Amino acid sequence: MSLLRVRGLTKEFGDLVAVDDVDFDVEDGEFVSILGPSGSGKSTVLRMVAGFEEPTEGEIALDDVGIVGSPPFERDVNMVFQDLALFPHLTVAENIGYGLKQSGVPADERRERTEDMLEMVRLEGYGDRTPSELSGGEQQRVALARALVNEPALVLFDEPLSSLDRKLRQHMQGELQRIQLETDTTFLYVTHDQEVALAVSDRLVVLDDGRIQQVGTVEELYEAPESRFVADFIGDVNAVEGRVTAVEDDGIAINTGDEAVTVPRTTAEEVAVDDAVDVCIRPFQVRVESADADGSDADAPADTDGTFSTTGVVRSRSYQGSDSQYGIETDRWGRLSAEVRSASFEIDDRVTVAWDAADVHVYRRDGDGSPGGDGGS
Amino acid sequence: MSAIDRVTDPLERFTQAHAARMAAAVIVSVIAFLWLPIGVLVFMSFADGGVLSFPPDELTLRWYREFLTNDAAIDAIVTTLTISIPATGITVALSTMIAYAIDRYVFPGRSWLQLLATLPIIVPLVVTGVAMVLFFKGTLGLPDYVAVVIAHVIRTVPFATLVILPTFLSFDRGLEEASKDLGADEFETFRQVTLPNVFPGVVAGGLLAFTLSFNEFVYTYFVKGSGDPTLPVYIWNQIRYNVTPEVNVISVVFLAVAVSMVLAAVSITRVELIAQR
Repeated sequence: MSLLRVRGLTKEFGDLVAVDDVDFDVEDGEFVSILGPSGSGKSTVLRMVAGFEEPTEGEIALDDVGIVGSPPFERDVNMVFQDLALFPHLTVAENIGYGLKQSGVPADERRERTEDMLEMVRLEGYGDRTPSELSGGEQQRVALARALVNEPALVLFDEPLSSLDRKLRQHMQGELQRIQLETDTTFLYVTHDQEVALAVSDRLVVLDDGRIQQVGTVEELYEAPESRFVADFIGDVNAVEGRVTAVEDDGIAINTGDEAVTVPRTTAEEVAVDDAVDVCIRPFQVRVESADADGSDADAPADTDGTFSTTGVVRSRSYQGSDSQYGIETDRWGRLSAEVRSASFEIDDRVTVAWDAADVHVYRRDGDGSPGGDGGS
Repeated sequence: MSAIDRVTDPLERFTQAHAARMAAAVIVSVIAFLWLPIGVLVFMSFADGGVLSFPPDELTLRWYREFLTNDAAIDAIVTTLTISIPATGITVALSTMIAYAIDRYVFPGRSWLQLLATLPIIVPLVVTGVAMVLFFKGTLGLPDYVAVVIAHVIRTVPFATLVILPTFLSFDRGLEEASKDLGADEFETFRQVTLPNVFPGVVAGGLLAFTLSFNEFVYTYFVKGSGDPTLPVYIWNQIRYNVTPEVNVISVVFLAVAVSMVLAAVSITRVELIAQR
């Protein structure tokens, strides 16, 4: 039995379908992120779980009890809001104790639990201040403590870290994980920031245009993205245009401009002969080697069974600590990026670029493959 | 090349060149015409002479003593308070509800409510005064006291609403969601979150309403009939026959009440705002 069960969840605002037939589960003790671009409907899903929006259709069950239709103050969930929504007229301690006060916890127990929470979020001695006297990161902690102190079945997060700078955000990510483990609480976290989502989540729900694209662990999404959208959204990916020339039991032959290369069947969506496809490869799976300095193409590598390869010229490089990211203008496929750990190349070096057919993911091109959806949230 | 060099119209040039001085002249005249008579009034309340002659021969507190022993004047103040205090309470309650409704709900007639609530500001006082005499006393036959209180509420609601409404409009509704999320129902959320945050505006609206009601003359004069006069009506009655130095004193007391109310409103709002930052 899942702690949170969402089935067929749909929300329409007039003609706009913000959330379209969404199904997912959150297990007890999990850290699940809903990841999607602005306007993908992720915040609407969260607001329906919290009770601020009524679904047009669908079910939400918490601990196997349907909660659609019950007001927010009767649901055993607490939310950390995007703008935090700390009460400006109350002190930090009063903010944290607000939920306990509503549920009739006596004053001395309230004080004790508030103190414990302040310690948990490392804000001992801040109880008597007002929220406006705290820094952004400290306010985040208060908002978190205010939700956690009620010991809800589920804590919801609506992109609360998005307003912090990178360094502080990374620090708060670590804090979130620590606190989740210490309190043994279930977190449902909404964000557009894949870096945050990948760093903290046990599982991800990728949402685009109101629809679920894929649900899985970080590894599953990264290594086996089910759509071009997920491949692009979770990490970087290179895409090469090709055409299917044959579909067989053990593989699909794809021509990307030279010889057809057979890729394993398992990586592909359903495709048919003559379909236009994207062959996608992660930058870290691209191999780069020096080509002959004379620039002769006489022995330039061609695609063979099992390998895609071409030649190209290094156009850009950027250091990323242990490895370097190169932008390579290839002769056949335009600009590709590659992450290289051991070797080093200079700009304008001629190189060969290759990758294994076994590593690629193939998606049909139907004009709607790129992540985006820059509509408002 | 500055903007002024490009202007060719002579009048426009003159305006551009002398705008600051013209503005200063206007401000000085306004201050002179408004505050100079008031300044003279305050000064004259300490004048020893029995008539309004300037300058006075000697300064004295005599007229203040006389005022304090004048039962009619004190009665007038008490009469005013018995009207202004309930009128202010009703006005604050009504204006808060109107502001809440305009802020929160989209309902048929919402824009009409907004207009109706503030319209009385521009209807000539005498017209409304006559209308209220006809309606409250002629048609409904209300007692004087009830009619006057209603008249004061009508007079003060538009102003109080205009003061209270912005605090509702600028209130962050996300705080109410947070409150409900933490287990407070609609009523508790209003009491514990909404009200404390809009309170400065409500207090300011109430002080303004009280000041207006305390000063109210036209409606009172029309509706009140022959009963005990309120302070403004009392002053009017005094000054109709002769101007005594005591009237100066009453006017000063009046002014002090009005100014301190406004200052109180300003400081309460400020203090609360600073506390929120």
